[in-house]
Amino acid sequence: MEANLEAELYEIMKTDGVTGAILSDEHGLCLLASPDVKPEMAGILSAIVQHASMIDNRNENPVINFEGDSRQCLIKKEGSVTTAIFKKIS
Amino acid sequence: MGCSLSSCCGDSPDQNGEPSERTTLLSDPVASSGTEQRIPSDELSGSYCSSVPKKSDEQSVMNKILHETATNVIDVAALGPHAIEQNEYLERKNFYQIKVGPHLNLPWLHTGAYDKCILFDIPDPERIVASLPISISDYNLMCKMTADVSKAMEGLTVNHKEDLIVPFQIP
Repeated sequence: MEANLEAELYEIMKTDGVTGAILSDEHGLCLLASPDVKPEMAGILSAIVQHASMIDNRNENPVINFEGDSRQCLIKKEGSVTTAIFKKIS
Repeated sequence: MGCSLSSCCGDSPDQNGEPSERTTLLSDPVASSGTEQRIPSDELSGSYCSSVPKKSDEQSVMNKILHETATNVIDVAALGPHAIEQNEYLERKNFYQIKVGPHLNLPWLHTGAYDKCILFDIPDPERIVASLPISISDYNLMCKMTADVSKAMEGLTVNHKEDLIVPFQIP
């Protein structure tokens, strides 16, 4: 049933530098999350995407990048799924 | 021409009573008003001399102006710290400290609230603002991953192994 989604999450986790990932639906509910990411974050990430999409009408699904000194968080919504990836900065 | 001259000159013809080329167009007001109103030059100079103030009057007027200016000006420099005595100075200092002190000890000034702020100033904002917001590889990665996830989500179906609707055993 959700094997395809799990396979996609596995693919994301295999990417170089990725330490965690989480998928949430349009209501901010967690669909899937890697072990070291809290499922409660799904709502916050969806809200961030919702607000960011209002900044520019021409770009409904922007890529949001939160960047610190050593880590970064990339968020993007496509369809009804919001995907967030946590990466180490090399 | 002759007609216009006569109309301009009015009743000032020359000796013969007829206008000529020497006849003035406008009549002389002084001459017409009479010679008794002319002021002789010596009389004029005398009246001028009497209107000019003498030196003593000038000095008194000058003193008056200076006095008025002095009364209207507040000399701040003259009111310097020398005007305040030492004990009065200390008294005022204590008074100000009592009044200002409670406001300097406000909790939000000294509890490190600034350190707890999420947003804070950065020393070199130009470097960060001018840098690329996201690398091309990360952007492409996100676009690809989200497209795949969205496609996988569309293909999500419920594969039931048991009956979804279970009829109750109503006797």
